[in-house]
Amino acid sequence: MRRTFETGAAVAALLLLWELLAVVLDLEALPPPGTAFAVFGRDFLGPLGWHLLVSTYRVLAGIALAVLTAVPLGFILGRNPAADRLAAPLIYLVYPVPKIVLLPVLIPLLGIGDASKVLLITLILFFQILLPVRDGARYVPAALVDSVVSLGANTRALYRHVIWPAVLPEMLTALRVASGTAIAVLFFAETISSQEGLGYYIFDALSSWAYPEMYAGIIAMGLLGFLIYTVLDWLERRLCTWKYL
Amino acid sequence: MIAVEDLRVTFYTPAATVAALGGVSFRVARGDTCAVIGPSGCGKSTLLYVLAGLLRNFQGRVVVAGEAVKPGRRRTALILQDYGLLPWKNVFANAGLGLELRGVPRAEREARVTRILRELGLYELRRLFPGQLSGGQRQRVAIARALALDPDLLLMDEPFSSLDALTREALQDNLLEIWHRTGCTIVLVTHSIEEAAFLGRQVVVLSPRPGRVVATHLNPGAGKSSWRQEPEFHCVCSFLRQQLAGGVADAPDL
Ligand SMILES: Nc1ncnc2c1ncn2[C@@H]1O[C@H](COP(=O)(O)OP(=O)(O)OP(=O)(O)O)[C@@H](O)[C@H]1O
Ligand SMILES: [Mg+2]
Repeated sequence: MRRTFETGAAVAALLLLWELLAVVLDLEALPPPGTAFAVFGRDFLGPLGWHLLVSTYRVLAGIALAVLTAVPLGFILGRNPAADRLAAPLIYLVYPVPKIVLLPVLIPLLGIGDASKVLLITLILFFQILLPVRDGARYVPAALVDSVVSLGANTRALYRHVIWPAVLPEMLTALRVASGTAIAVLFFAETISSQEGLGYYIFDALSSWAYPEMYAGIIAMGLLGFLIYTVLDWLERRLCTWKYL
Repeated sequence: MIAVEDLRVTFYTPAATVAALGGVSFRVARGDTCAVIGPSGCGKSTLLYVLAGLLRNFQGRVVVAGEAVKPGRRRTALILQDYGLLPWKNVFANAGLGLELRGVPRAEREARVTRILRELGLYELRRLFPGQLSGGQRQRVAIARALALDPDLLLMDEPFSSLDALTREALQDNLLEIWHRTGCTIVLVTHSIEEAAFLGRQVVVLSPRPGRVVATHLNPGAGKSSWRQEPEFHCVCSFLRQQLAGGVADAPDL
């Protein structure tokens, strides 16, 4: 309830600022929020809604793929120093490379549809999740592991009851931080090579000087980010109750 | 129950080779209690790890319940000083973890955990997480988790050392009750002289690292709550103190 109120207040403040700026600057490129929301309402059940859906799907699929690949690998590297020594140089070399540069490689391979965008997001999130999961798995206190092993845990039980819950909060935090980057990169990828998605919609509006449409697209993008943060936040509260006592 | 003969443990690390235990021998009869005491770093925890089957890299002979020690012995329970409880599981789930790992069906598991939490006065706390408990409560949950497995051998690594004096004595009395009721064998590692003298019907004194047995003291007075008040208890304490300080003393006449 409190959170709903705070969110509402933040949105109101943002809209007020926007309205003020629009009035003061009086530019065609900055329509007042009312105009933008009118277009948003008009297009939401039409093209805009569809593009929002496409972008949402791409981000969520990218997150899912990244979690499904980075978590097991992070476990393996975190718990096996030998494997980590082999993999670490490779990871540190590839990690800082901006993954967007791979787009020209991904598009000929996977086409301009969903696959290339999803994979791009997966690549970005993969490294952002891999490192905290690996480090979290590595630094689980040895005494905790020993005491659970002494209770009769095999390797699988150890991962399920000890390692996974220990790294989960850090993984969700990393995911939250990285999903902002992921959305920004998705926008970029959709503007250069797509016929669908919010990036396409916004860029299309921009290049035809349809500013109200452009802002409607931006509103949708904000909505997408908000949705993802809210879900991750909820997951963290739900799955990591013990952290919020 | 336990026979340890010439147990040696050496850790090889890139930085150094550390001899932790340099030839330790002692025996503990079934149903008896044994306290192992020694200065910090003398290998007490290492000894418990060997007895629990967690540390396999040792020389010497270690027999538990008639068999060479091996990992996964079902009726051995280990209680470590800290970190024993999983912070992400509540009291009830923590106490039932051993049973869950051993595949005990849920209904039976819940019945057993409920009974044990009631016995230890922890049932009201069952929904709390370890982070919400006091040190003493946490240690009692760790004991509950061990007892849920119906152990015949309880290994404890400085279980009460982080507690204040009153809580510590209450939990020591608690442990004696459990010992009387279950008849399990207890090996308890401590650096507290009073704790060793109060709980160990046999006290093994180790030398500084690498740990060797300085003295094995029979302490038949231990095992009842009133022992703490008896004059002989204090004699045992000062005897142990002298042994630890490296002095030679005659065993007190009891
Ligand atoms: N995994 C390990 N690798 C290397 N050295 C170790 C390892 N575990 C213990 N040691 C060393 O072995 C010695 C004995 O350690 P141990 O933990 O058994 O001592 P302790 O008697 O329990 O000490 P304390 O009373 O402080 O708990 C110490 O010098 C310690 O540094
Ligand atoms: Mg120790």
